[in-house]
Amino acid sequence: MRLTYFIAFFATLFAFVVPEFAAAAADVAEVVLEGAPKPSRMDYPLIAGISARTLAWSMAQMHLFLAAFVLAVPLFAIATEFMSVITGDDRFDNMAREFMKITMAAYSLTALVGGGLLLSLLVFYPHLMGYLIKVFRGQMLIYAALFGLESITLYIYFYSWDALRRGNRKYYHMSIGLLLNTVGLTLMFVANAWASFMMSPAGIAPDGAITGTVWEATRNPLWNPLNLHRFLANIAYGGAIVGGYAAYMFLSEKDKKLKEHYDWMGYTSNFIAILGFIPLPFAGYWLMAEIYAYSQQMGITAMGGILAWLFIIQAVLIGTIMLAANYYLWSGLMRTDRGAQYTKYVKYIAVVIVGGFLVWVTPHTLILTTDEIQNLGGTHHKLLGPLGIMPAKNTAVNLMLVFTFLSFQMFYRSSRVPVVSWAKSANMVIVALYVVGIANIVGAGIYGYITPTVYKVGASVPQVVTTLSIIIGSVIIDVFMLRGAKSEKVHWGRMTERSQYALFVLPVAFTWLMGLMGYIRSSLRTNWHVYTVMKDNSSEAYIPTLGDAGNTITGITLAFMAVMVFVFWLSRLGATKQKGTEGAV
Amino acid sequence: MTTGSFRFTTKRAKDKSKDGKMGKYVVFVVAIVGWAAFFYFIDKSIMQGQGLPVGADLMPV
Repeated sequence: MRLTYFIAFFATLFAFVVPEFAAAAADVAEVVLEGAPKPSRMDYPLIAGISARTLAWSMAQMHLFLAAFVLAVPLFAIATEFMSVITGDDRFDNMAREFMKITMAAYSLTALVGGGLLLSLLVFYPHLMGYLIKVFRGQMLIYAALFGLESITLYIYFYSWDALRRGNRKYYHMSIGLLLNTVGLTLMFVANAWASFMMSPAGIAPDGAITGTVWEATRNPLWNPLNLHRFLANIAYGGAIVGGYAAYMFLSEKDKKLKEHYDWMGYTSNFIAILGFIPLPFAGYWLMAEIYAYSQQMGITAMGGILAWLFIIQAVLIGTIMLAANYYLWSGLMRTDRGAQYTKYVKYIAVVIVGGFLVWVTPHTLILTTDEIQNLGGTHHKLLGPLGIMPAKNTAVNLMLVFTFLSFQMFYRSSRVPVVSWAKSANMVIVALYVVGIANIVGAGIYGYITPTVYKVGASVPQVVTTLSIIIGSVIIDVFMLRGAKSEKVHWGRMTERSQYALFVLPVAFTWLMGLMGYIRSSLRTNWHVYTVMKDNSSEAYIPTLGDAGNTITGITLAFMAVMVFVFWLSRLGATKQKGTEGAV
Repeated sequence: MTTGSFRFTTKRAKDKSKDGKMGKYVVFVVAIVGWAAFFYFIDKSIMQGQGLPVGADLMPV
């Protein structure tokens, strides 16, 4: 009965609040005809020699790391909870609760760093913040209200877990989880609107005078590509962080049962990370294509100017992620007795992953001395030069994704023996799909070398569709073929300690990668706060050297890793009882 | 008699396995042709859908 009151309270709250939100979002602009502020260098406060840019950059990046994590984990926590309802297996429910336990420890830190970011922006960039508040008006208040709602739903979702665990109550609990995720995603979309507005402003005149509605400013050209990219990246990132936690617990625990649990948790987290990661490059391509469409100059700054070199580092990090994820999957083959029969394929997959990695890191233009240019006979290497352009890189990344999926498929198959009479034929259909699909990806890559640029760019789309076709086609055939399959025992916990370090590599490489790409995205505005509308006249309105940028990004990454170790330790501390007090409530 | 029967059984089993292998390869060849047609259709549709006209050989026209 009390629960009914509780739900009724929320329903009433929503009924009152949502129309207010809608009205604020659709707020018709009071036409403000003055343009964007033009602050002079003197308008930027200098306080105790603090580098305002580095402070705001660090705070924003740290907030984004934590926010990505606390927004993503509830998404797959509710999916895991749903699995427990479908399968009736309590292990899923326990794991979902454990996912949330880590989030709880990180949530207050997210708010704390978010507050720090807001303060540093208000103190050091008052004119910019004043202008953004004018553009987005009531939406800023909506954000604050949503943040409150997010906190309430998050706490209720976690603390009501045991009270709403069985029967119909489980559905109430999942409804709260659904509300939590809806609010969380909306928060992210709102924040994305501000970041993307600074890159591709809309709803304003060329001088910055506000002429449109809040919705027009929100729905700027880069908003949706950024939404999709961040949504997928958050899933992959959240999975990687939780995988790191599972590896930490696997290595720390001595109890066999707990080791089995954390091995399973590590496997599931790695699966989630890969699931989010596979479509991520495609979302990235869309974002970059939209950047080019919005401003060719901005696109060239990213891919052909000073920032282009950072994409080589990006390739190194993504290659590291691919290698680590695959290594973990290959190690997992030892969990099943049939797994050994698949190990003979590992070396071939490794060749493709490493080969793809090397193609991806091959730069187009080399930094050379005069002597080196003379010896080479030009600025491009005769054999390796062609690998520096996009058709080669698109081909490499698609093949790496296809073979990563194959690694996963091998592990999945290793614990299931099909019983249907047409299993051999179905296998042949899958093999043919891989053969023709891979030929199509490679063919489309070669096509890019012999056709005009517009066709070269266009050919990357069939490559993406081919990769997705291989994955979706294989999954569909596997689902039917393995229906009623004989299950082999999976020996959870039968993993080397070495393999767990692959799970540590993933969050570190992901964090570094996000820091790097976040820096690139933000730097595309060059010396503008709001691109082409409001100039940055501070003393730090320049793109730092690659070395300086790399050091700052690495520093932030290390700081975040320290925070995560603290969060993991905190979660473990919460479950630790002093000797002799085990029975205490 | 036992030996003969054994041989007979073995031969049949071998024949059956050969048929199975043949069937498997027939399926493989048919699947190759089917998937090739599928990807050809996909490639052509996507290129034309992007406003990039291509001929039957998928080359720009």
